[in-house]
Amino acid sequence: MFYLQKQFSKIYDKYVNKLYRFIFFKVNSREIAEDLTARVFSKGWEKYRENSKEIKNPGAYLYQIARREIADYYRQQSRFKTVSIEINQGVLNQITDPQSSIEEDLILQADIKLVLTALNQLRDDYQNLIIWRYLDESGIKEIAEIMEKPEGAVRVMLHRAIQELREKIESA
Amino acid sequence: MDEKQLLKKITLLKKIKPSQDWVFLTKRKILKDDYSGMREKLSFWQVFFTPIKRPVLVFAFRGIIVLTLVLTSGVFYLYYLNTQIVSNHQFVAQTNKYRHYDSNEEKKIVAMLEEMQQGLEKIKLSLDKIKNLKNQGQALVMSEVIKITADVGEKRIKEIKGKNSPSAQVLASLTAIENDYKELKEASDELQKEKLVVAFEGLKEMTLTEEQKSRLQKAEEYYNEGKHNEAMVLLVKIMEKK
Repeated sequence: MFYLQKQFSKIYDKYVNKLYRFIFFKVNSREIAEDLTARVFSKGWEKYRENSKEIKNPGAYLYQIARREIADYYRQQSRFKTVSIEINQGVLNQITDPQSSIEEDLILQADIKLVLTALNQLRDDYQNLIIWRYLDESGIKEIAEIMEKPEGAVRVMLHRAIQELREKIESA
Repeated sequence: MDEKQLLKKITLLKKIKPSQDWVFLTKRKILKDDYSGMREKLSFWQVFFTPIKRPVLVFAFRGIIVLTLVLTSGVFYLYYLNTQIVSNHQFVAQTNKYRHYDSNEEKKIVAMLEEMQQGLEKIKLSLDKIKNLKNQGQALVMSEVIKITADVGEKRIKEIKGKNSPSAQVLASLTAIENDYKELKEASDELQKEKLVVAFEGLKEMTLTEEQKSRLQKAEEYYNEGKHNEAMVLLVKIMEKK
């Protein structure tokens, strides 16, 4: 058990930031993202504890749990994704560098809002692809495992996702 | 906005992170809650290695066990060292007798490695530029060239390693460059696959002759079978005639 805890602790350290960020982009709330992320790891630990050998790819498994949790959250809330994003100042304060000037902060915050808004306008799987590929720096093979699709299909979708994101940013 | 600028904007979002306090507390909650519940089921060895919440006597007992283990292993280690000293002398004598060491040869290898390293840097820069090429046919061909160059480089290094008996330092440098070539080969392969997808998408939106459509279909079949080189050749032929 101690060994399992140690192993899962490493998995937690590796994926906590990525999962939090992934969930945050979907729910646009820090508190809810924290709550759901904790639930994902809690469920992940339950399964890992029972039979760690069944989980061949912990990252893919955790992302699958995350997607289910997000879907459940939307069902319970009976709401759709908001298109316009109001990022709270707490999150923006976290992002900005205390050494930078106010002007630089404002430009950075504006850029982030722009990209986040455009990202939220994409369909779910395109959004996921961009997050996994360019923010989490996952390989195509890993993404294909998470999405349960062939690698070729993932590449095509990624290309289309990037095109669409570019169009949304340019038109904003 | 080109792809580089777009990716730069996307990576701004990496700055969104959870608070480290929350990360630490959540981990402790998830793993610690479980540990408290499982305490009664811990085996002797787990109890031995888990955090101490017991009277000093128990700690002293553990301390004695640890000390005994350390002393015993120390004795065995000294015995092992003694045997190794004898066999090491024999090993060094043999190595000196049979090693074909030529410092001039090593100097040549090092000089060649420096050139290869500089060449590698230039190729990596080219690979970056290919990513932004609008002409997909050119991008495909150039990525293939880089892939072949990396493959040849990797094989050359393996040859050098096999034929000579380089020193540890030179061997480490050879291995580092070999790994660089491997990574370059993988990166160009990955880029080629991405460019193939872009090429397919682009060609499907164009007006093609019957012959070109048939080639495109064949290229898609090759791509789905994993025969990327064959797919690339057909696509380049179609694009050349456009």
